Formats: sequence, structure tokens, C-alpha cells
Amino acid sequence: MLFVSRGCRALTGFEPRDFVELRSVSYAGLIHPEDRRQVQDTLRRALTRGEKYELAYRIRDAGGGERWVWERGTVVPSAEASGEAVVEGFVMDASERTELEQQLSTQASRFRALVEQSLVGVYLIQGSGFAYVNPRMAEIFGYSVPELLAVKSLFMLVHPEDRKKVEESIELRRSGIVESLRYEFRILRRDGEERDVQAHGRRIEIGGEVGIMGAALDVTDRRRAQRRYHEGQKMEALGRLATGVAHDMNNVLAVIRTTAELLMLERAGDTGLVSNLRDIVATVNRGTEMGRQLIEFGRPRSTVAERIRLGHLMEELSPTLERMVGKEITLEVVAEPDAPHVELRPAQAQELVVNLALNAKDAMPDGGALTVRVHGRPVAAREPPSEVVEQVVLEVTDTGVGIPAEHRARIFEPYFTTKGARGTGLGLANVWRIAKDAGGTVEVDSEVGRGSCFRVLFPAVGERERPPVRGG
Amino acid sequence: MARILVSDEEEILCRALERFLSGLGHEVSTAPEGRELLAKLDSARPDVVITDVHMRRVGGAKIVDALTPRGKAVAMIAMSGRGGLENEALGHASGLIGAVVSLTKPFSLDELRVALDAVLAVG
Repeated sequence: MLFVSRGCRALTGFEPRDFVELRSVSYAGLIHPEDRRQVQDTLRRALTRGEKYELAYRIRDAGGGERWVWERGTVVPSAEASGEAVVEGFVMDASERTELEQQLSTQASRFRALVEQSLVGVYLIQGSGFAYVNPRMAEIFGYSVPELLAVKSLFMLVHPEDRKKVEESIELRRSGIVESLRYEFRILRRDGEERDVQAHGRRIEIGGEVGIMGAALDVTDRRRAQRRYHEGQKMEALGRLATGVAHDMNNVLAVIRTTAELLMLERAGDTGLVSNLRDIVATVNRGTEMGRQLIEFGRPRSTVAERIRLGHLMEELSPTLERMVGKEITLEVVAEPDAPHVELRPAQAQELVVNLALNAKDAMPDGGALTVRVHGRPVAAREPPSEVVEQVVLEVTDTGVGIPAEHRARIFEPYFTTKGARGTGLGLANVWRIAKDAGGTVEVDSEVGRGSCFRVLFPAVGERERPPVRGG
Repeated sequence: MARILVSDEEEILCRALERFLSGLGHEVSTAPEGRELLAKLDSARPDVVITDVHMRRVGGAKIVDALTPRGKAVAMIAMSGRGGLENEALGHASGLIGAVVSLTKPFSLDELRVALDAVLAVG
């Protein structure tokens, strides 16, 4: 070494002369063995190319302690004839800075672990796709992390009807009009399943590029439970109202019917009048039937349900249903023989399937096919209630006119009918009520012009019957 | 022929039933209100009471209570717009008074005739 400043004492614990005049200490020897190679390589490269360099490495000081130093140097062409290049630079204590860096890096890895293990989806959007997603985010969408990162356009993952909403809310934040936003939309998972997602994202600028960073939750189950609850409340209130109206209406109908029948007796000779009175009585009877269905709809949950086999019952009912739907419609009853029991009054099961069959008949004025299917089905693990492991499905499928999407949400409301004066608007309301009383639900698939499929899902009770095990 | 007291808050129904039952040869009086029914029991001394059991001030139970001292002498045809199913009064009445039949409104005059024949046959 040609020159060492006095600062070297504070840094190394040695005097400048130890390096320069006495040469009792080799600076290279102080460098931590693991770092020596890196220092040598950098210096060699700098010397060859005549460049500046920067280095961080550990040294051992006079007291035997280890510390980080930071060195910056330049290659100065030698004035001497030998032409040997000289390196000029300075070395400073970097222990504190390096410790800070280490702390930061520890912290960063902790945060990374937190994010990676998080139960909510975490994402960073840059450009038209994801720049980062945590494993949960990928799980929400049904992809692996690399697959989700490779998706070119985020909008492909969003339900078509919600794409505009998502696009607008991303734009609001990109443009800086809104800093952060919390909203919900529907996604399409890789397997095509529709889920509700709540996202809370904030505008972020990284290296001059604007992106959105945030967290996402799959709120499908919560939303479904809420919808079910609200629907239940609405139907309860409607049921009470319906029952009250029906009872009062019966008093009114009694007056009309009794008076009409009395007149029929008293004016039996007047055929024209009697014929008119007969029409009145027939109309009263229609009103009475509506009232009866309304009362059935509003009836509180029955406690005298029985364990019945829906499949057997449907097979028994098959001739009745066949007569009911008429010759233009072919009826098929397919019952899985060992489907589990459900808890239901047989009369209710009958009313339910009769209502569905009548509904199907009305949907097929020019004839068609009606299929009644009963089978067991395991319950998906994430579907509440979780204690139910199997459901019994009663499926009534027609090849009729179908239900337009705008009607689908309302078909179970009492008095909602698309059949004008012919319909009471109570058939499907009672289907819904009976299913609910048995702890079940009703699903509808329908395509206009193709037909509808009503699926009533009952919780299975008891075990499936297994073939007896033969003893040794 | 029997003495019949008809009570219903629908006055037109009372009158129509009166006409019908009189036509059958019975002696009929009417009470278009529950309290009037109770008040008329002594003067009318009915064999059969044909009454709505869900009237505003006087329910089925009250009517049964009023009929009970008369024992098996009085039969009751209980009319109701509610299907009669939840009518506790009827269960309460059995054994205390004469025959009890319930009719769900609106019923036909034939049904009423059958019910009346039944309670009169028992009585």
C-alpha cells in the first residue's frame, strides 16, 4: 500500500504505518476469507478495464472483531514510466448500514411469509395482468400461482356481466381519481364455477408504473347464506299475509256460494239463471282452491314429517302424474333404488311433485317430455350446512318453453304467474315452501325454448342401505 | 224438525242459511254477531247452533263455554274460513255438548245438509 489515511485506526485498530512503512499487516489478510474472492475479482476487473468499483465486505480488526466495510475506488493511470495502474479509494465502516439492510431483509421475508400464507387473496395488478398473486388468490380462481400470473387479461377471469364494473373501477384508481376502492364482483373460476369476490385494492406506483395492490376474499358462501336468509324472511312475511288474506276471503266466498246455491234451489225451473249460478259456484270453487293453496303456503313447518323414500313415492305416483299431464306429454320416472330417505310428509311430497308437473304441463302446450328423477348426491364440502353429507335430489325436467332470465328470481313468489288468469301463482310458491320446511332448497335451470329443470334438494336422513355383509 | 240458531258476521250468509234451513222445515233464528248469539241462547233454546267459530269478539271457545251448561242437548256445526284444523275449541267441546261437526267455508248447501242430518241423528 502506498498510502493509508489516519482514519484507518478507527476502522481497523491498526496504524497507517503498519500497512505502509512497516508492512507488518496485510490489508488483504484482514478481509474475511469468504469475501476475499469477491474483493479480488472486483479489483482485478476494475484494473483491467480501468473502471470505478464499489464493494461491501467483512474485515477482522486488530481486536479480532468482525465488521462490515464499504469501499469505493477508481483506477488511476500511473504517472510513472512503469505504467503500473494504481487504485485510489476509500473504505468506510458499513456495519450499521449492513445491519439495517439485514433487518430489512428479515422483515421483508417475514412479510412475504405472512402474505404467502394469508387466508385472503393478495395481488398486484400491473398492465393488463397480475404481477404478483399469493397462493390463496390463485386458489380463489382455481389456478396455480404461475398459471394465474400467465393469464394475459384479467377480464377473462371476471363474469361477463361484471367486466364493465371491474374495468371502470380499475380505471378509477389507475387515473388517480380514486385512491382505493372496495367492491364486489363475480368471477369465473377455471372450472367455470361462478363465485362472488370482494376486492379491496389501492393505487400504487412502482418504478414509475401505476398498478393496483390489494386483497380479495371469496364471499360466495356468505352471500348465499344472506340471500337465503332474506329470501326466507320475505317468504315468511308473505306466508303470514297470504294465510290471513285466504281466511278472510273464505268468509266472502262462503256468502257468494251459499247465496248462489240457494237461488239454484229456489229457481230450479229457470234454466238460464241456474246455468249462470252454476258458473258463479264454479268460479267460487276456483277461488277456494287458490285460498287452500295460499293456506298451505303459509302453514308453519310441520313437525309430523315421516322418513320416506322419494323414489318409491314417485313410482307410486307415476300413474296419477301420467293422467294429469295428458297424452301429449310422455312421462318418465327414474328413481335410484337405494337413494337415502328424506324427512317429509307424503302428502307434501305429492303436492310438491304435482305442482311441478302441472307447471311443466303448462310449459308444454304442444306436448313434450316430462322426466321425474330421484337420486342421492354427495354435498360439496364448502356448501353449508356442513353436517349434511348427502342430499336427495328430486328433479323434474320438461322440454317446454323455458323461463326467461328476468322471471327466474320471482317464480317462487306467491301470486307471481306468467299464465294470466289460468295460473294461481301459488304452485311454485308451495313447492318452495314444502322444500324449505323439509330443510331443502330448490334450484332452477332453464333455457328459453329448450325447457326447464327444477331440482329440489332435500337433506338425506339416515344411512344409505348397504348390501348386507356376509359373515365368514 | 229442529230449532236452529245461525250466527255469522256476514249478515247475508245468516239470511241465506235461514232461508235454506227454513225451507227444510226447521225453526231458524239468526245472530249476525257473536255477543248476540250468546244473548239469544236462552230465548231461542236451539237444538243446533250453526256458527262461525272465529268471530271478532266471540271465539269458538266462548261459544262452547256458553253451550256447556246445556249439555248434550245442543249440537254445534262450527263454520270456519281457516279449515277448522287449528280450532282448539272443538276438541275442548267434545263430550261437553252434543255432536260437533266442523265445516270449512265456503261449503256447499249439500255439505251443510249432511252435517245437519248427522248431528240430528246423533241427538
